[in-house]
Amino acid sequence: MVKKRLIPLMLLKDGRLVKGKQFSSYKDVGDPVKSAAVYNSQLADELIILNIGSSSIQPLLDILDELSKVCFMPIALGGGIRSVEDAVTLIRHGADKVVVNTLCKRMPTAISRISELVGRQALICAIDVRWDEELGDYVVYTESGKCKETISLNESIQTMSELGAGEIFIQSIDRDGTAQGYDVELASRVVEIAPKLPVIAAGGCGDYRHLKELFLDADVEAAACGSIFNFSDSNPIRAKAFLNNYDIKLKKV
Amino acid sequence: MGNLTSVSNAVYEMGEDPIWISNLEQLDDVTHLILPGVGHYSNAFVNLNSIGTAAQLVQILSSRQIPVLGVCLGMQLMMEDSEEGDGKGLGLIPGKCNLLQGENLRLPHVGWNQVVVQKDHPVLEDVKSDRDFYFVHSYASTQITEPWVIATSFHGQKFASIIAKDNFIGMQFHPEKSQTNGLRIIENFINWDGKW
Amino acid sequence: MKQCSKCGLPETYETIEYDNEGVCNICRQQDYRDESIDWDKKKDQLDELVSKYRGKHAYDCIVPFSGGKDSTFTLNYLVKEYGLKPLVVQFNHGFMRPILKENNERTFKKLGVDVHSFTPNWRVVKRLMLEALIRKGDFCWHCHTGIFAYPMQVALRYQVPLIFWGEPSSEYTAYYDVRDEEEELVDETRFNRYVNLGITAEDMAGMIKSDFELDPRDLDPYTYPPLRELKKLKYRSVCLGSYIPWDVKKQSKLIMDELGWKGDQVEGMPWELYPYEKIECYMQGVRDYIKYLKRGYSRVSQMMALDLRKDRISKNDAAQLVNDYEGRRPPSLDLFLEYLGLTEDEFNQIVLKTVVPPFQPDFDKLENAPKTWDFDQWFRENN
Repeated sequence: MVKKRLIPLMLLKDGRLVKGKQFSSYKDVGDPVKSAAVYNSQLADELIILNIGSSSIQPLLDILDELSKVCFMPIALGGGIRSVEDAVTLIRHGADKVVVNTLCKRMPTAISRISELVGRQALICAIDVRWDEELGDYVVYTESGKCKETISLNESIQTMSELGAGEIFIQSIDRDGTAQGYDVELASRVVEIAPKLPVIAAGGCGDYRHLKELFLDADVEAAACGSIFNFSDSNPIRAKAFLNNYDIKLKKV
Repeated sequence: MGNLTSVSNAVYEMGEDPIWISNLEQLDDVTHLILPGVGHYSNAFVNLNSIGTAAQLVQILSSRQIPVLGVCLGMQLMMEDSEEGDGKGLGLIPGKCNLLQGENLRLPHVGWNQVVVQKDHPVLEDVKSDRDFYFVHSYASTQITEPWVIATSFHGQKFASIIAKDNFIGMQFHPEKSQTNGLRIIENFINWDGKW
Repeated sequence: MKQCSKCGLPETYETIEYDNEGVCNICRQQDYRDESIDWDKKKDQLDELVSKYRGKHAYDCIVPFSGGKDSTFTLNYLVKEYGLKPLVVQFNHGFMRPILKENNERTFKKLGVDVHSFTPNWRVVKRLMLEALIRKGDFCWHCHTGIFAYPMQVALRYQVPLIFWGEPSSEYTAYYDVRDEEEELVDETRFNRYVNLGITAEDMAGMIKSDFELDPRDLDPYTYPPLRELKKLKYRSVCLGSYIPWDVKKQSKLIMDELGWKGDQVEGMPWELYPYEKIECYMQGVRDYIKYLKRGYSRVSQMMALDLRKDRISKNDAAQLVNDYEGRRPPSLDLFLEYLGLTEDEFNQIVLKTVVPPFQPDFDKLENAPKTWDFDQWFRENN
């Protein structure tokens, strides 16, 4: 049986890692390669590194070589992927998976092409959402939360599914950096719409209870974490020990 | 095709010098061969054909008895054929690959899953059984052919996660992405003389 | 909160896991150490290890030394059992107590060893303490990293490949499960796994430089040297406790008898019963207090756990001691607040953010711990 995954989410900006709140007010949280080495030592299941500093993949390429030398678990890279070529370049230089968000909305056909070339298993399609009180539903955003999209959440997921996404990454911008817990309802909904695809939930993880809640109440396969490993006395090994005491099984190496 | 860097880095981490070969003559200098793999079966086979014919490759590998490790797609290539794509495999280890089946099965099979070791093998020395390794695939060796099965795993159905015959060994998971145990497997493979 | 049915440690204890019988993995590791390890074979391996390195380098080995019971025992053992010529490496965290300093002088002079001591920049230390407190609720980052990284730098400088540490981490945590039968290497992986709290010197540099005038070399003492250099040296960094059984009570008595090592009063602990535990640092009280606020247990519980595992105390007596001593506000907190320029309220707010669930601290119910005899001798900034 496939184990649940804990995935540290690393945001790359100007050569450093940062962590913010609701996609703003970013604080320095470390050196990208050193931090990746730390997560490797701490037996993290996977890493997701998103470039939020620029709209090209160059910052990712700059660190990919060094990252590959210290990470012996899968690494997914994204942020600034603007073409099929960008995605393929990242895979060729050592990324195991690519994460695409804006591209899914701008060039849906590119998604199918990427899926064909690198394999579905190497393609994570990401969606960022904010809750709209007036609308009474989630609204999809691209361009790191700056551009409001008209396509609905449900439609987005269905399209990504059909085009060849291997996994869905769903992030609540409202919860991001608040350390108040995941939007479990959001995660459950995405799982419902795409039951055959692994879902990675992100946004809001502050302590181990949030992870417990997410895994017990929503059938997601993975939890992406930002604040918890940067602003509290915790690490993936401890998180797993805690979850194990509640019968939530993560990998055992 | 796919992710050669990780495997290369893992070998380097073990203190050895990996080289990537693009034609059969280069095999003369090689002590151990690794067939890595990410991507699509047909594409991979076409790529393999570009370095020399499959038949020639099989001939060299079998006669020289170089230890060969097939990883993920690489393992599938070592077998007879696969439901994915329409190429024939190298036939180094008996068996065929099919799409994993199961009720409400999530595909691809991606993530950490348990590998249950059934037999001893030099490449598995000091590697504990029942530990998790990283898988990412949709096709697998679901027709378990004895006596080539070394370890099995389960996703929707049981499948062979490690198969071996003579100097050939294939793993459906990615040892270079499976941290401690994976690196140990690679280290063992590098120290293996191909005899089993 | 869940608790181990044998040693009482709660689920907020790092890496703890309970099995079907409610017994924790730390207890099981102790059982394994008592029942399943061939200590004779381990001793043979130790003999082999020592003879492999003896006499071939500037020193036979490096012994990182704090002056506490474990490092004093380790040094004593290596000199007396094997007649080794060690280079003792001491990283001064800034809070050495009078009796500790006396102990060290006596130990070094009695054993006859070369000692290399290093004291880092206090102003940098203060800034590091604050950042670590905020990010991790653990202000000892400079000490954790200094103690484990600096001796490796010294090893490279003197080209001494063998480094002997004291107790293996599996005595206290499950970052390295002794049942996996893997030797615990005291290397960069271990450093990153938990020693540095997940923060390297390179990480820390970016975190503090926005408000602190950091010279790029200021964090050198806390930087783990490149693996390449250590591999060239063919380094071997191991715990003595991987080769011989570890027993802190017995070992403390031994160094008291053989070296005249003296125990001390330790804030928040029952003084007569545990004079040997954590005597080397006068910020230990604050450290324990923060642990209590974050996790709902502290050093008293930890000592009880060790004794319960070795059947040296009854569950009732253990519970009584925890009740009488644990979770008191230490006098040293005043010094700590002074060093960092924080009010107690600010301190509480910071710590509150790093509380480990499911525990919740109750700031109103806290009593005060008594002052130790040397309290007035500890460093004051506003003198």
